[in-house]
Amino acid sequence: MAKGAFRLTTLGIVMIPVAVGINFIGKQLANTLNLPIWLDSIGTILSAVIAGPWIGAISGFVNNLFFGLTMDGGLSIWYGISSIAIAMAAGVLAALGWFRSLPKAIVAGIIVAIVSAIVSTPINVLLWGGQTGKAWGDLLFGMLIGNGVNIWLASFIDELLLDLFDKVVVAALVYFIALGLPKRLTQGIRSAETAVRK
Amino acid sequence: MNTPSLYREQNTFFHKRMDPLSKLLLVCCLFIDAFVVPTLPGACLLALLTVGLLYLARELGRAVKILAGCALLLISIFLIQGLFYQNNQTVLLQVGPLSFYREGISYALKISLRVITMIAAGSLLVLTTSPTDLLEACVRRGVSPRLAYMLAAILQIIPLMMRNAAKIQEAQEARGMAVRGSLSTRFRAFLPLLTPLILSSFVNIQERSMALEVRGFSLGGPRTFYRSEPVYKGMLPVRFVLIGSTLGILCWRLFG
Amino acid sequence: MIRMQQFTYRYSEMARPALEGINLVIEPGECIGLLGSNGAGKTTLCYAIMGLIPHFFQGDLTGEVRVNNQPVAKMDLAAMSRQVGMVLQNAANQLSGTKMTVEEEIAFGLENFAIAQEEMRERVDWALEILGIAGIRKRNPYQLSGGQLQRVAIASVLVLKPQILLLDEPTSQLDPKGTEEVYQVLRQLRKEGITILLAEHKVEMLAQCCTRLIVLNEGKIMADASPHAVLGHPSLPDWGVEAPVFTQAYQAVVQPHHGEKVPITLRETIERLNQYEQAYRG
Repeated sequence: MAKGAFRLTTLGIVMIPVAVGINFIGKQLANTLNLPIWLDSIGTILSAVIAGPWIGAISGFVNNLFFGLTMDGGLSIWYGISSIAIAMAAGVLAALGWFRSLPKAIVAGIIVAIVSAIVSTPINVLLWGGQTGKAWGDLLFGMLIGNGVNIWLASFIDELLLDLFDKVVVAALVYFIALGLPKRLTQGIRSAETAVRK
Repeated sequence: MNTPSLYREQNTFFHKRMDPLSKLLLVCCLFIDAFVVPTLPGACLLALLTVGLLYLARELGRAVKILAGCALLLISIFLIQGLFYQNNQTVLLQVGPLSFYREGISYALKISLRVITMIAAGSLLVLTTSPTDLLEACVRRGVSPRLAYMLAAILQIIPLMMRNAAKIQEAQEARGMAVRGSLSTRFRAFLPLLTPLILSSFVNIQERSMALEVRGFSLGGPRTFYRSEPVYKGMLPVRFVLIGSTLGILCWRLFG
Repeated sequence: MIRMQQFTYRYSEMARPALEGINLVIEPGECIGLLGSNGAGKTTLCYAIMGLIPHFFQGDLTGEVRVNNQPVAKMDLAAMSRQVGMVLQNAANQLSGTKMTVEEEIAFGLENFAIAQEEMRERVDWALEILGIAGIRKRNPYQLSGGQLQRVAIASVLVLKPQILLLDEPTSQLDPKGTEEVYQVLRQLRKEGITILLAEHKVEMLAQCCTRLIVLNEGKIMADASPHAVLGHPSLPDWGVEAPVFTQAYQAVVQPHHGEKVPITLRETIERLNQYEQAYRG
């Protein structure tokens, strides 16, 4: 039945909406608790860590497609590429064992943040002339380009600063949450996905 | 909160007589136009046209609310680019020690018009189209039912999770958890609110996928639809006009 | 017809088998109650008949399950679901979660099976009717009461027209009113000739509607007989099952003096007690 090398199992398909829901709730909670970061990629990274980079990538893509189509008039869709990249990075790192302890997860968060910043920067430049829309990052951006720093570099630094804080917190949260999930379920999802890929 | 969708039923051309896929095409065309339209007056015209369409769809008010979400960002673009844009040469305005330059302001104008056009176009689709209608129209045209499932399931799962989140927050607050206070207090509140919610949603994944399996979800073959496909008249010429005008703008950019 | 032969199954992450040496024949039209404490293997038995074991769960399996003389292990789940329907323990999980109205939710399976629209409508109407939920067909499935939701879940399985229906604790999350609603539906389904296997803790409900009871304990069949024989059995508590309270009261007070078979429904008990009382007066 498999056409390509990879075919989604039903388990994966059912997990993705849950992951998107978690992203949304995380973002809402961060808003109600007035936290200074986004926290809107917990579900995406969690699904990547549990079910591998592909499922993660799809949930990242679906996440942005959904919010673009229902909430913000399409803006999110552009950042779908960043979500996919974030999930791929997290999924590969998890497969290499970088989510097995808290210090490792934090390092993984830093790497994910760098990947995210690399992919998001062109989108920021294309859409906003390089800004991110978070005040303290953009202040720095303005100061940098005012001092003659290249707009791409300035935008990258702006985005990276925010991403570092956000993704490290998310990676740590994902580490704790994944610990609490029932083994039976995580193993089931993992074995179903690897069985299909063979 | 019923579903996380901004769609609201109304009786306009865009709500009733334009099919979801044509609207999708309209949005895609406007997105392309927004990027390729060559001159500032052209961009201005395009933005006005899109906003005009929103007015015709009687959704201008709610679209402005979506746009207002980016207002701060747009203003800051004018500030930062006006002050620091790399090609700044001609001073346009002097406010105390700050000088705003013509080049930066015109660059900011270009970006803002593009963003406004895109958000307005996206809002036109989002505000006038029921997500389920759009998804069903896509599946009828060959979009994977699996992708459609994922998107449609989000529509139902988010209100469900919101309700559970509210319950959990109530329970945790009843147990004396502080959700207000210093930044570290608020950070510490985050995990006990989120973890139970994630656990309970994950536990249901297995049962849900079993239920889908036994209801034939994995059958890859053709499928039928419970709802009859709505009939829309005169959409073919509309689509031609959309594609034609986008090609026109593209030619203007390339050869103009 | 369902036939299980020497069926043993162990989930891959468990140390002990969930089911062991199960031999079982279920004839068309029977209504069977499945009793046992939590973890006794009731759900696993349903999964095995449905084919979720071995098609969804991984583990060690010996023996065989046949439905209508075809081995379940060799059929795919979609084909199985035309013959056997299973209503999962948590009705909310039975829903596809993608439909905004009850009728569309019920039609979800039919859409997947590419049933023609006209027949689809007929079948949905039939299912709505039989479950008594025609009045809520346009409602959002996530805004229903527990009893309504459970009936939508049953309808969503029933539209595929299975001859056999498996229900895993269909009333565990329902109040008495919701429970009664569900059992009314089950009585109706029996009239339609559908074979029913019902895993349930509410013994008094099973006693009223089943023709046969099976008791599972630690993965093995302890008893498989008529409701009277099973609920009157002296070892019932050892199997983790309690007889209805009035049956227990009768067993404690009346049965030692009159060694006949015990009543298992409330009405039966009242009739019997009335007889004794009249005999005592007369």
